[in-house]
Amino acid sequence: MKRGQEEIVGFGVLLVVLAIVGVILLGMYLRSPVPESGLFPEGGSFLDALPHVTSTCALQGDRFISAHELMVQCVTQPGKQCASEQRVCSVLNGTLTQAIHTAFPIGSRIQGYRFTLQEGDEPATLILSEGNCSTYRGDQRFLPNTRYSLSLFVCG
Amino acid sequence: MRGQLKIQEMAFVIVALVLLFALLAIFFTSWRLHSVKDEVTALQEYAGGQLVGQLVNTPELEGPCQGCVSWDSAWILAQRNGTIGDRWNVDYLAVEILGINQTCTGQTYPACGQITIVPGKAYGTAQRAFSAVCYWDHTIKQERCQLGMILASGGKA
Repeated sequence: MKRGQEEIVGFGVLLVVLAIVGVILLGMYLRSPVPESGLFPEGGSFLDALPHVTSTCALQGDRFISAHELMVQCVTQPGKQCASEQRVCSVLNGTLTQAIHTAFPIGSRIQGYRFTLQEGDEPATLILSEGNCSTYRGDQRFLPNTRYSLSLFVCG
Repeated sequence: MRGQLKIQEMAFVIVALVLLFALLAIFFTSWRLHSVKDEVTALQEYAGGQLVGQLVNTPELEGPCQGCVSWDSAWILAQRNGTIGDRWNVDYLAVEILGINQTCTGQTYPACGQITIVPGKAYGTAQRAFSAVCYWDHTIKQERCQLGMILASGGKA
């Protein structure tokens, strides 16, 4: 075998070894857990607490309703108005956005979020999101005594 | 002479391969350590949620709804100078209303944002979970619940 041929064979062997290592690493990466399904217990406790928060919407004789009642009102009667003459969905947007911003301020730790309110498998009734993320971790809860579910995913 | 040259070439190739694999090993190890760190953080948060969940559901702190904390009860417990810490096996326990930075004292209560029930001296990183914190609001003449947080550090075995 000539010297040039030997070097070509050596180069080929090197490429094969590198390809094998690459395939092994790629396989390990693909088998690692998807970040979207990551645990996020703070998100769970946030979703547990959120429905109890008192909103700024007064209904039924000036009683300020909870975020839970406001979510139900927004889904079932979106045109309804609070005593302040704001629509229930508009107040809900404000209440939820403020709560999310207070709990998870966007900065170094949290770079974005995605909150949804939906009924069963239907398309989400309400989506709030901020930031541009590719992978999220979060949690989901059912709104007590309803068919609606809340989910919050954050990234950072 | 030609034989020496070949040995040198082979040695270079072997060194290059060893360096390549060493770099790959460092890259892989750092990647795995990063994911392990994320998992540890998530598990610590989960454990924090469990501890705080137990505390929130005690009759001494329970508010008007399931999983809610009574702001007044937290204040009353805080007046016991941390004696509840031994009973609940916690080194540190505090209740916060998010968005209000003022610490509660006899002068500032109830228009304040942080009640320390068990003042820990060196509690490290407290475990935390969100909770609705409820109190009677005289301005709207009804019970008001705000988004709050329970911070606890346990482990007095």
